[in-house]
Amino acid sequence: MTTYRLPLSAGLIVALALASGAALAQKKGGDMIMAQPAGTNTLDPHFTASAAARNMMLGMYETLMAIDENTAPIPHLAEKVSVAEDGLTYTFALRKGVKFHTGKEMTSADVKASFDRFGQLSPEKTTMASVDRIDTPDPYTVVFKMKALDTSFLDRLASPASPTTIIPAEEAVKPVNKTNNISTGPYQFVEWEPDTHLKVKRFDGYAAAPGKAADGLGGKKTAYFDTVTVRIIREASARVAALEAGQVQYVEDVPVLAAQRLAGNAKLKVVDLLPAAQPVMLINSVQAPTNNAKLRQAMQAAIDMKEVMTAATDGNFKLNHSFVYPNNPYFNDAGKPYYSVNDSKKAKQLLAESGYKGEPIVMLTNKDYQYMYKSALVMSEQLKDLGINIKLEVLDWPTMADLSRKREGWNMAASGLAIQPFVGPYSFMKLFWGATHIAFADKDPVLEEAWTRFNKSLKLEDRKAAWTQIEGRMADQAYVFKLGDSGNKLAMTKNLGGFKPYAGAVRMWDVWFE
Amino acid sequence: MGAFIVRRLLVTIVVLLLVSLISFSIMQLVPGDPAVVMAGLAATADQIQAIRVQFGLDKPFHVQLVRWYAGIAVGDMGQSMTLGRAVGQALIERLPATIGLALVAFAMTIVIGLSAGILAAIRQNTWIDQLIMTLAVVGVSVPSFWLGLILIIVFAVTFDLLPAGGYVAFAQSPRDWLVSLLLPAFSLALLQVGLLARITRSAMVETLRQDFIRTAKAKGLPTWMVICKHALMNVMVMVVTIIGIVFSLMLSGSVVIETVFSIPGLGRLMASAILTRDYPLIQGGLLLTAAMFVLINLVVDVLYAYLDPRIRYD
Amino acid sequence: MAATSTAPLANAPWRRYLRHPMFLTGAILCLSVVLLAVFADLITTRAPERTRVSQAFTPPGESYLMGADNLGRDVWSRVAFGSRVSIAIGFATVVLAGVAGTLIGLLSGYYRKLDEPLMRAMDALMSFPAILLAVGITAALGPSATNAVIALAVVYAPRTARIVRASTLVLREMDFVAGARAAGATDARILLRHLLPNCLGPLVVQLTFVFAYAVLAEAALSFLGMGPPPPAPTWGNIIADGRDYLREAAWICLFPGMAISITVLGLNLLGDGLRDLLDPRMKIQES
Repeated sequence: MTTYRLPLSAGLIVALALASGAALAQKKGGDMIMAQPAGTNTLDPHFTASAAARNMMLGMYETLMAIDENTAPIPHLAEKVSVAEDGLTYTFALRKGVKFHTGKEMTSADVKASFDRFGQLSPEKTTMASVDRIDTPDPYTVVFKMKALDTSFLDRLASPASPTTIIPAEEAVKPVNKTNNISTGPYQFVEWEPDTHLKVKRFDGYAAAPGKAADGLGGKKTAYFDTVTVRIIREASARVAALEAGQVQYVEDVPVLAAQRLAGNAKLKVVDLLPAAQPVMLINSVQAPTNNAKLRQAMQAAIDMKEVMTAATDGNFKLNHSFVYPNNPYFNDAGKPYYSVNDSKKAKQLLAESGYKGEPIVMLTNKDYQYMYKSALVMSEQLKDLGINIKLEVLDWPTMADLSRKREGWNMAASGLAIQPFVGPYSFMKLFWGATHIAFADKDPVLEEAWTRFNKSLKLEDRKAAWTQIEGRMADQAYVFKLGDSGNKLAMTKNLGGFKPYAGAVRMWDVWFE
Repeated sequence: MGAFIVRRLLVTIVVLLLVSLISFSIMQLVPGDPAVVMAGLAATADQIQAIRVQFGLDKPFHVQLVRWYAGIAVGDMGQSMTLGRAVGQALIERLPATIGLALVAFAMTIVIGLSAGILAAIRQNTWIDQLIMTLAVVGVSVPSFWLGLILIIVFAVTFDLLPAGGYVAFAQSPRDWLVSLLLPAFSLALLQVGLLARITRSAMVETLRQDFIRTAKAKGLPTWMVICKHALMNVMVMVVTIIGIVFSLMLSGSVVIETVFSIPGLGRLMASAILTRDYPLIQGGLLLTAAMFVLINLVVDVLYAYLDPRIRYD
Repeated sequence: MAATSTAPLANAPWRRYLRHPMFLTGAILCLSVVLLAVFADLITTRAPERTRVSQAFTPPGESYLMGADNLGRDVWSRVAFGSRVSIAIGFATVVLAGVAGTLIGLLSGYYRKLDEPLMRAMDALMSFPAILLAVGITAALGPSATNAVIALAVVYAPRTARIVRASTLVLREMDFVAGARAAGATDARILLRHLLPNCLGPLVVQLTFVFAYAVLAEAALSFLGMGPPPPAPTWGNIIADGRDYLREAAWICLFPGMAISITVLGLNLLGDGLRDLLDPRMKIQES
């Protein structure tokens, strides 16, 4: 039996004592206003799937498991979780005295109701597909009985990609978008105007997890600000101007050139979050002419990713062939030989072998995400040089996202992954084969076999091997072009203490005004 | 007079009915199924059907039309797709910023446009006149959003005198409110300044030629007094008649100007509604702005008839 | 306004036009823009869509006349090719709004029974703020050059119809119309042979202004992302693309904006000049 416990060892207690000494400098108070480029059209605790939404919600919403600083799953609203030897039973011991924003104590009934709702409504409800039933033997115990071995289950419960938020049972019966935004987080809901702002205030009844400090999205979180307001300011220049004018204290997605200027401002500091996301070019492998593997490989061989990424990010990037970040345990070099080859001779040879006759290749992009727009503009020019007849179509994001899910009407589509490369391979499951898959191929036996092995293996080494094989196959068949890792320039007032960049979301706890 | 007002009211009602019909038609123009377009991202067949039912798109055209008019009659313009709120409420919330912007721009238009026009008329056919008229025609030729960007470069970037964007509510700080609106209001006003200067000049030239001015002058009254007392009144009456048009031009310009300067007004709301295909919001925004224009013109016409009895009631 | 004083365009002595400074300046400006559009291929050295990231943000100078944008595209080339879009959309709008507006104006002015319903419909259309209606229509139809033209024509046809109607109302009562009717001319013949030619003066002036508004409105539509979709350069979308680099690379926005201003200024001067020349007594009218 494996048990995950909240960390509270002797060594940590010493550290805790030291940390609390340092904490004297931190005081409660202040109204934090942050600005980000996008809003969300839903605050539903089980319906979130965007980075913008995570920034807004993760101060309010909490989960049984959370990811730590290095994205490993740790218990959060649970005190501990025990996994049976056969991997088919997960037993969660809930923390006692955890209060919802309504003041009611969280019990197993709330947890079960939350997961039932998640399994019905969430875009990531596949997480619950392997769960046979949820038992609640007493108010502080929740038992998940599995239908089959699912070794990524805890990872997915911890993932903030679409959080398995715990909400009161009476809220859990409500349909999508009808809940009252109640959970157990350090901040509680005040008001929300979808296109302008979200305001939250400190939840004074917050029951922090034991530990020395916040860790990733879990740990002992402390809310210092009286209120936090997330403002939506779409235009980059306006976000920067608002920071300079002192109207906001923290902004995301600062343009590289502006960040250089802000770095010279005595009142401000700029923090790099790199890697923050992964731009990708989706390829439709079931639609002619890109159903021709040789043609896809020819294009793959022609591309200079450095140029594409420079344009897409204004230079704020690192080249990376893998679908996970270099510090992730699953990082591997299987895709490296296929990445940013920029070899026109090889490309031309592959193109000749493919029998391509200049049929139009429709490349979709959108202007809502500038990096997608710019990467498509540059890549289409590189492919035109190879002799590919690219028809670039600029749509709006919803239309593009919709079209790129269909079998017909497109060949390539500029897109991006925000959270998946950060949290790890398990989160790619639905991207490759589910309703929102990125590898638009008909069944590929090599990928399927490796994925099954990944999910049935208990040993990390076996899982790594399976994932390496998946990445190698993806690259060899040129199902998706991985462009690189892009950064995010964060700028803030200098007196913002305790801030640490984190690709999971911006964390407004354990930060304070000095 | 009474008959004139009644007739004018009837015409207004007809125009308002037509205006709402045109606003309604926007969703009918969407090729294919608007529910599919609105549902957008990762929508399932169920969600599309839900949208169809929610917005009554599953009903025949005439039922939808009756619903639309019945809604408007009680001030209900439907639910926004993206804001999770009633369209009317969302529009009303955004109105103050736009009205503020329009007011400041209007004040600039009147002050600069009128004085430039009067100056040009008094100095008719001199270099001053020519300079002003040249500037006026340049003013109506510069795209307002581009002017806004240039003003940002000059006043915010180079000289760091004024904010590059953002908006401060009047209630929060009247001074900052005004400062935050100076650049956008000027960008918005320039077109109207050019128009008004040209109109004022020609009206003034016409007035100055008239007998009563000559008589006044002959009586030995100083020129400025003549202008202020007689000519200006005439010009002002004429200005009142174009308030509706100026207002309409400003609402038009606010779509781009509020986007350039990130002002949370009606224009920016419309621009984002358009980008997110929030058709109920687009319909409501069109209806509201057009209805405002129609009603302002009604008030102006009635006032005008009241002030100037020479008007033909026709 | 007396119709007799509105000399038909064809009979006007051209020397008068050339001696008119406003008209002449306007004509020269417009002609230069037309030449820019026609010879865009010849006077540029790089394709407007061609990206060259290593050359990004090259300031205006010898190698890049108007500088390079954030992707290393040649701004001069983009401005030159962008003129084609602006002129094409402006011209198509003029034709469409002109034909529709003239037809509605003639019918409305000539047939008393049609007047009220047609003009109330025009009033209703004109109640919408112009850009707002145009973006509303393109939002519904989808962004494309054709849809931009349709939207702009819907916006500007009523303004044209009003002008034509006003002329027709006056002309209808004239002796030569009564004469033609007595001679057995059909309504269609009276409208097209007798009334239309006499409306041409004000109509041409109005359409010149419509051209100017259409160029401005197209730029605004493109700026908002509702114009012809990229990568085809339009003046509006070059500015939109360059906006994020305003502080560091102002030239990306500067030159296309100047191109718009020069084109619209040329058209406005041309319109003012034509109005002076065709009827010195016509008032400045805002639309």
